[in-house]
This record gives sequence, structure tokens and C-alpha cells, in this order.
Amino acid sequence: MRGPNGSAMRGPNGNPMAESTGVCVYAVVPDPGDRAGRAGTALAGVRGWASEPVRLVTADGLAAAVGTIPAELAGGDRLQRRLADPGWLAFAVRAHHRVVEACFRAMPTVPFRMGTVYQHEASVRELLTERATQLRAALAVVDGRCEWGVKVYHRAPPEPARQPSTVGAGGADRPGTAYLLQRRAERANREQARVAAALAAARLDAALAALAVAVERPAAAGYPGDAPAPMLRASYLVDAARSDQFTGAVRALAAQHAAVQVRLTGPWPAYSFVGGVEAGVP
Amino acid sequence: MTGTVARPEPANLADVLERVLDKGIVIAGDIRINLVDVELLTIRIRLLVASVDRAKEMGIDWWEYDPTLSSRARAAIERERDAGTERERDAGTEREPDG
Repeated sequence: MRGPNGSAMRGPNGNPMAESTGVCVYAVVPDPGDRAGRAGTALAGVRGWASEPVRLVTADGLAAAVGTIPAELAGGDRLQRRLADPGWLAFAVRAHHRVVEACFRAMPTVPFRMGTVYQHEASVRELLTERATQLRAALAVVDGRCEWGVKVYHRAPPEPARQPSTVGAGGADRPGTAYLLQRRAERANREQARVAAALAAARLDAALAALAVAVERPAAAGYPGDAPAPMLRASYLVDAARSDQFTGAVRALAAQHAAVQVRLTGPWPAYSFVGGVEAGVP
Repeated sequence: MTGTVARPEPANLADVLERVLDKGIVIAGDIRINLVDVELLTIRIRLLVASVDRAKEMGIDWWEYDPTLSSRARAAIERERDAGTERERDAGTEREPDG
């Protein structure tokens, strides 16, 4: 294991570290001062990746929610093998989210990218001090706000009941033509419905963006939950005070547009709005 | 899912994965576990195939179309796109709209 300057990592006593544990950072919050108070209550009983208890490490007015994890989870081939186990990955992702959410319910919370691990608690304190400006800026962005996820799907119009059979009916002399005309009409209907849905999605997005502080519309399609692919997948950063208004708007807009189906999740910690602190926030 | 009405739904595993993976502030730890790289591709694929019960209806080839995943995936997308253009040209205007 190498330090940032390329030198071999040394323990506090100057000896090469036995890689026995790592310190996993889940989130950063403002230093609550009284650790036994609100923050302590929020994190009581919360377990991280290794089912370890989560504690706060503080420096410079900031606090990191961390857990000490065994070396086998702190890097290397063994970790990669475990991560390749979908069951374990699912567990780790849920654990990460549990910790972040516990913080989020009690305090402004900047979620960390899953898998940010340090060798020592001292390095976490250094992180808080060295990145204090960036972290404070991120906290200012998420303070009093939450994230809502919205997906808009095209609701295909019901297939018109096809004529059971034209044979023997009045138009039986040209069944092929009738069939092709019907196919063409169906295709036109589908196309029309698709356009209507796209319009509805755009209107919904515009209306919701007006209620939000910031919007993220990830370009990449193909998350596990996307089947079929949504016409709109967006995350909105919303003031907590406006959350009811926001969810009300989603409901109202969804009801207005028969062409679409809307899926709303949240409130989430502001996962999507801390990567680029400067992005899209007034 | 029934009706158009959207009320917040309880988060399922796919929701949590989507929200958590690739998100959050990036500050390199001294042991940063690189989840964003090629491994993630493997992980996601295996996760999808093995543990998400809706894998089939999701279409198990979705990762090929996630441009953030890898340059190899990107290359595959390019090839796919070129091939698609070819097919469209061959099929002319009577191509059946998909879906």
C-alpha cells in the first residue's frame, strides 16, 4: 500500500503498517458539537459495510461518519472478489445507503462515493481539514434540501382490437389491403402516442425544474431499474420546505397526462448533487 | 405499478443501486476502492443476472448501452450504431417502428 506521495505507508509509530483495518467514510456532516446528542442518536445502532458500528470523526467544524472495517474489505484482491458477489455488493450498497440516510434524517449530509477508505482515522481528520472549503460548500448546497427521483415512461395506448377476421365479411374481396391499412393506422397511432408522451415528459420536467434548486439528468441509459427505458430520468434537488409542493406537482402533472406513467422516489440524501459542487446551483 | 398517480414509492434494490453507485462526492481515500472502473461492469452484469429477479424483463444487455462504463463498451456502442445504420439503410422506409 502506498501513500499519496508514493512512499510506503507507515503506522503512527513509524513502522510499516500491518494492513489490519481500514476506515470507511460514508458521509460528511457539520460537526454536531454534542456527539451524544442528535447525531449520536441518529447513528446509534447503524451499521456499515462490515456490520460495524458507525461513529463520527471530527475536525475543523466538520464530522465524517466512519466505520472501521477489516482489511479484507479495505482493498485488494479479496475485496474485488467479494464485490464480484452480487449478493455482497447489494448488501454493501444498502449498508452505505443506510449510514448516509441515518445522517440525512438528522443533519445536512454530503454522501461520499461508496468505497472511500482510509488507513487511519488521522487521515480522515486530515481530509476534513484539507478539503474543508469544498466540503463546506457541498454542505451549503444540500443543507435543508433533499433529492427526488422522477422517471417518466411512455404509456403505450391499448392495442385496438383487431378485426377477428375479414374473411367472409363485406370487405373480403381485398383482405390484404384492409390489413395493410389497419397496420398503417396502428403505426400512426403509436407514433402519435409517443410524441404526446415526449411532450408530456418535457412539460413535466420543466414544471418540476421550476420548483427545484438544481436538476440532474444523467445521460446514460441502462440502470437496472430501467425497463423499459424511461423517456425522462431526472433528479431534482428540492428545498425541504417545498417538498410537498414538489410531490403535489408531480402528482398533478402525472394525472394530467394520460400518455405517461410517472415514477417518483424520494426523499433521498442529495447523492446526485455533491459530485460537482459548483454545478447548477445558484 | 397502477395508474398515472405518482406517490413516492418505497426504494427497491434497483433504486438504491441507481442512487448510490457512481454518486456521492469523490475524494480519494488513501485506499480508494475503484468501483467505477472495469470491475463495476462485471459487478453490475453479475448482479443483474444473478440477483435482480427482474433481470429478464430488464433486458440483460443494458450495460452495453451505458456509455459511462468503459471504452470497450463505447467501442461496442459505436459498432452497434454503425451496424444499425446499415440495417436501417437496407430496410428502407418500411422499417417497423420498435416497441
